[in-house]
Amino acid sequence: MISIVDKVIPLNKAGPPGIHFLLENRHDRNSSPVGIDNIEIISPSHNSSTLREIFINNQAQLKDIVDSAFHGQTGSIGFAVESEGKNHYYELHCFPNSGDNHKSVGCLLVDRTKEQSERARVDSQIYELGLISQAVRAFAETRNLSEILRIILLAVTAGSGLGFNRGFILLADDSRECLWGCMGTGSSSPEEAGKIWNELSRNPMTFNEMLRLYKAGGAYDGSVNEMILTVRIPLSGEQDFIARAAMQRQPMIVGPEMIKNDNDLALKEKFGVDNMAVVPLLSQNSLQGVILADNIITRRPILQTDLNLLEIFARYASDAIENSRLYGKLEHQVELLKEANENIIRSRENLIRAEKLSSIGRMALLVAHEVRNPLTIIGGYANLRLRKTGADDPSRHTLELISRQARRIEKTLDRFSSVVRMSGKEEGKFLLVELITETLGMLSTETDPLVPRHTIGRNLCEAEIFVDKGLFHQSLMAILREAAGIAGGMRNISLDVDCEGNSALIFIDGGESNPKFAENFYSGLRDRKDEERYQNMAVALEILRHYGGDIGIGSSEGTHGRLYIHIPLREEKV
Amino acid sequence: MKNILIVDDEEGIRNLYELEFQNEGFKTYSVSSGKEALNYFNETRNVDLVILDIKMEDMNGLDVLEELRAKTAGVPVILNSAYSTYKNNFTSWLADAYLVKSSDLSELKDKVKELLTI
Repeated sequence: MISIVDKVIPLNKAGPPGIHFLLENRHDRNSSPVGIDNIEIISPSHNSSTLREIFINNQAQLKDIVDSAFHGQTGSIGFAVESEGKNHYYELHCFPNSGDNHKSVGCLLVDRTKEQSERARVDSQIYELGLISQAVRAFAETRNLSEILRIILLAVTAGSGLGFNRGFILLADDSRECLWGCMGTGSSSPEEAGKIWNELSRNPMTFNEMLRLYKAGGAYDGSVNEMILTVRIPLSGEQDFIARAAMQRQPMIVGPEMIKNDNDLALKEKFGVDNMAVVPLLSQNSLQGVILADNIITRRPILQTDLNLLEIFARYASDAIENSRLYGKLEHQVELLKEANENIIRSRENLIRAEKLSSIGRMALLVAHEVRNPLTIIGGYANLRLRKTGADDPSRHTLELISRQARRIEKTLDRFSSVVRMSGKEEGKFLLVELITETLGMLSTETDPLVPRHTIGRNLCEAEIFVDKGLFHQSLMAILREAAGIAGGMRNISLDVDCEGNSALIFIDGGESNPKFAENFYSGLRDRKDEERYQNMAVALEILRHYGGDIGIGSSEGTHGRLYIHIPLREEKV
Repeated sequence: MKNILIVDDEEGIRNLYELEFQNEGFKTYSVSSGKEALNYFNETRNVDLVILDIKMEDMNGLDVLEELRAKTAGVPVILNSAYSTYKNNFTSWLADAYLVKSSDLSELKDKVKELLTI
């Protein structure tokens, strides 16, 4: 038989209150085994009946410690009791009473429910902070924005961490005028959620394991992600709740009461929830975007504590996003610098090459003048004499030889002279229309008085290119002469001048009757059958490339290929 | 008989052209500088066509061409130079033809005949 002293006695001033009672064994302990099964609990108070219930319902757990106490051993045990759907946690301490020959045992029952729930809360916070810590470590390992967004979303939706059903990220554009949906994750249906959660309960994963899976695209949710990609939130004009949170730099829990205008309503319908956490991503007060999170499957209300934790996480996430963006910009700048450096090197090489060509040309000019006059005289007299010499004259062969060699040297001089300029450099910005008109005018003074048919786009009236005027004339004339040679005369080719982006395009067409005109132009150069032609064109191309241009073949669908020259429309010197 | 004025500071060229064009049935005069050419014009004006060198010591052929055009717009002028690059100079467009000097005079002779519509 057990009698219970039903009163609350604080163990000490600082300790928790508990129920102190005495268990007595009315049986002869030598004739009857001591055990909780034989104890009859008598208690006049409600608390005692509660105690009886506790003892009866938890006999299996308490039996050993009570028996041990009746046999002289002190002990204690913690145990949980479910009551009205809630868990209560107790500690039972048993002290043997040696004064009455172990016929009674002193007990202290302490309700630890409050401490236990506090500990659970602390454990949960430790877990959540641990999760954030792992996510922050993961941020440090990458500069890839896409990976960073995936880490954020994983942390927002991972298991018992932040544990939202869905997460979304919208990023601000550079001008901070608009938020663009970038990435989302989570289950799109309860069935899918059930499947994922069952899988996770069977194969629990750490955050890092989930992260690896997520990086590999294994946990990527297509439909949720596709939905967010269609979302665009203007930050000016009539604002919705996302824009309001972003502009006020304040996290908020969106509830039905916050659906204030048509934009809010549209967002509510798009996301399918009216309870959502909206947390701005702020880095040094600069808006990077927002995180959205909801519990569309479980419908668990979002609490202020959830929002607080999400806000803490958002601070780290914002820094990671900003770092990634800055790194991206830095990379872009480095690329630009590399490109600029390569351009400088290329320009310098081109310049050196052009200067060399120019030096050769200037030398050729002097040689041409000094050589051509005597050559004309020598060859001219040889020809004159040749006409008066009979076929059987022994000097005829020598005269023919002189005449042929004179022509040969003259042709060589012609080739070198093509790169010579009389005046100094005329490098600068020139109207493209004028340059082309002048070139065509020069062509008209040549043997073939006809110039190609040509059309010049109206939008090119003011277009300027940066070139050496004389070199450009020479280059274009050489190309047109070559084109005319292939098309059977200047009259057969046409010029169509237009622009695309930052380039002027000069299309040269051999006409419908010459469908392989462009191909023939190229193959003629490639085969190098005519060394003189090849050299002239090589010089022309060199000039074009020096000023950032080139020559190519282009065709639109269903039309034959056209030769085109492109040259950049530039504001400044290369 | 048509009169051709040959302006060139190279004696060999002048002699060669004179021989060639005389053989073709033209009457030729030759001078060795731009100034002489302008003086000749001022004195006689009996010239049907001018073959004009460009790079001469006293006066550039293009300057001579400009003055000739001012005085006698109707007389055909063929610029005949060792340089091809004067083609890029707009003044050269005032000439009726521009031919680079060559030992093969057939092109020059053809052009003369064409301009004199022979």
